[in-house]
Amino acid sequence: MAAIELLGLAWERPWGVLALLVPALVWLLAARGGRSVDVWTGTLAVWREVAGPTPQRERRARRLPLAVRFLLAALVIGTLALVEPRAPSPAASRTWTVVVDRSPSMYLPWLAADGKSQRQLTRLEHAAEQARELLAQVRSEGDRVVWLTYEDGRPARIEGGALPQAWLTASAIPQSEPPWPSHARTGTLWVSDAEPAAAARDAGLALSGGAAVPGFVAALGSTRVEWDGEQLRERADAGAQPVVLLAPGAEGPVERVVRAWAQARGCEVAAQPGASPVLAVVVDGGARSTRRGSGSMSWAGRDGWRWEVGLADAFHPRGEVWLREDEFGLPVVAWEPGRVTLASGLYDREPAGDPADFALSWSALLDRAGLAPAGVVPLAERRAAGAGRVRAPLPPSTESTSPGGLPAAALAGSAAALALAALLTRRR
Amino acid sequence: MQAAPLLDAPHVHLRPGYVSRLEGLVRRAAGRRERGDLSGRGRALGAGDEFVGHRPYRPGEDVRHLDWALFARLERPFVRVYRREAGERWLVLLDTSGSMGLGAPGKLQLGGEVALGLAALGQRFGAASELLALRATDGAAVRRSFSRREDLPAWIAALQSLEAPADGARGLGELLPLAASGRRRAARVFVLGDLWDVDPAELLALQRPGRRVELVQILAPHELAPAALEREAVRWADREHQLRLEVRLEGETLARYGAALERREEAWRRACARHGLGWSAWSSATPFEDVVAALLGA
Repeated sequence: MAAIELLGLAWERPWGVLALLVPALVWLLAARGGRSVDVWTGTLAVWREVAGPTPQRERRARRLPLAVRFLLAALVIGTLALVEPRAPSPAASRTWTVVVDRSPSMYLPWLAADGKSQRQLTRLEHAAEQARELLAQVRSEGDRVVWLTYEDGRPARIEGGALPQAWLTASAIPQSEPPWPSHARTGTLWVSDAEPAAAARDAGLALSGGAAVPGFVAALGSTRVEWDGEQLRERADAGAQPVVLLAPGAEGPVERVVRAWAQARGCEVAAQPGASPVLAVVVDGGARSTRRGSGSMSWAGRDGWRWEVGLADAFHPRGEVWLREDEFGLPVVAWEPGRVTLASGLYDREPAGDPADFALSWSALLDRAGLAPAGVVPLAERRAAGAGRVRAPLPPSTESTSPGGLPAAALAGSAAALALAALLTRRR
Repeated sequence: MQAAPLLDAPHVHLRPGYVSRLEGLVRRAAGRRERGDLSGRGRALGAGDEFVGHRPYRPGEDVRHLDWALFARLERPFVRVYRREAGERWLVLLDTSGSMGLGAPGKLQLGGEVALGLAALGQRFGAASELLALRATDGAAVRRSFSRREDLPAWIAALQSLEAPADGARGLGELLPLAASGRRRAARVFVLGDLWDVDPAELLALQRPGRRVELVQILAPHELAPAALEREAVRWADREHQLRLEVRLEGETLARYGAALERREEAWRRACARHGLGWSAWSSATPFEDVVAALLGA
């Protein structure tokens, strides 16, 4: 007998319900056998005193013995396992993945080839519209769409029919382009402005293109370097002075280097967070941690210098580790765009080696970690992104979704466990 | 038609091994006496005119029989034992009412074994015993004497002929009047039964100066501990009055039953102590040797 659908479920072996006769029979026999048994006693007077004189008081619902109840449950669940009910299999669905480029160029205004635009759209918004139109052409009912981007190198996914609104705003830390080669497959749509260097292969393309967007490409203090599309020009006092946050706890050689670096870059050093700094140099756990004792003194070094530091608490850094101590390799300094973090400890000792090596090494770190001031977009990002292009993605492979039925093995296991319980609780 | 209730045991079956056990009991008791476990030259144990020795004091006994000098020396209570010069006569009353015909082992079974054990031991120590019970068929008295070893088979036959009828209420209440003549001469009276269907005043009235009365209450194991039946619900059936009562053997009910049983036993214990009777309660699963030894201090 083939599977049938009943009560919203697919019954793989409908004839198995006949097995319910067994627990029904067991229940009938047990209900009969569960009646009280007659036993002679000479103490009936005492029982009357205790339980009352009238038999009617004892006519309460007879409960089956615990072992019989376990057995009945085992038989019913075992029958269920035999019948194997399942939720009806849904139509096979497909998943489309839209990989979104959120690098700084995507948030520049989209300009047509003549350098103008009739609509106030960013390149990202324009590409997202193209992606939506492409998906409308290729999607079927029941298909899923997953929007994928990379934040600080880590993938972030959101399922839905449209680009997530939060992604329409640039993050404070400029993001790199996605690792395109990882997504060159069917069912994938790339959303970007310019044609990526990696071959798209079977992936679709929603490339906004766009003319070059002139603007500030670098900053030195309040001076901005502006690109007009052809040439670079410095403009003094064209923007706010960038701020570097130097939190308490990094006093000593690090503080000196940071201040020197900030001065050279035209940045202002602040001890308290205020306006968005272009760089924050902080100690993990705050300045308090340095007062809890020096912990163990360790040597750390790189780039020709060595430094004895006193690490206090365990440090679980975000970002990339830039400096580790020698003995156990514990992280001492880590960085990520916009932030340099030191492990909690003491850093007041002077480094060994050439002080210039120390300063240059740290300056290189600060340059890498420092962010561009608002409105400053690297020149490479401002360049023209080409004419744009759309190409429908090839359909993804069909997924065979699980029908979502209760696994027969789990039901059978439960039945076995209940049968064992019945065996253990039976009266001897 | 109602099913026959369980744990029906209306007869006495003295199996072949019983006689050897009986002989062993008598031998051991005799041996202890000869070794001097009991001080003095006693040949029979009981209250009488001739001092024959000591036995351990039992709670509830008349403290006038305590040997205070011995107690002062040993710091353990012992009772002085006397023997009549003419030889003691013992009376063994065996309850054969319907309520005795149940249990596993049966209450009547233990009663019969103890009765013969008492008689055998009494004979060994110079006492003559008389068994008195009621016949199930017509309610007539069954009497047997035991003063010689040769009387043993007749006692066995008499005991095995007894039956506790399911519809009979021939209990101790009917037996006591029949025992009037016999008990007048008895130095010791043993009443073996479950003591449910008798007026306590009638039993207490058995006591006389110079006579020792022992009430031996025998209950079935499931009467003492119903939980041992391992059933959730039981319909208790009364053999004598054909009444039934359905009860769920749940924790609270069982606890109340136990407390009620204990109250009744305590009442018997106090009443017997006040009137100078001996009282003891036994499960029918108890070996008869233990009961006899406790009753006679053997």
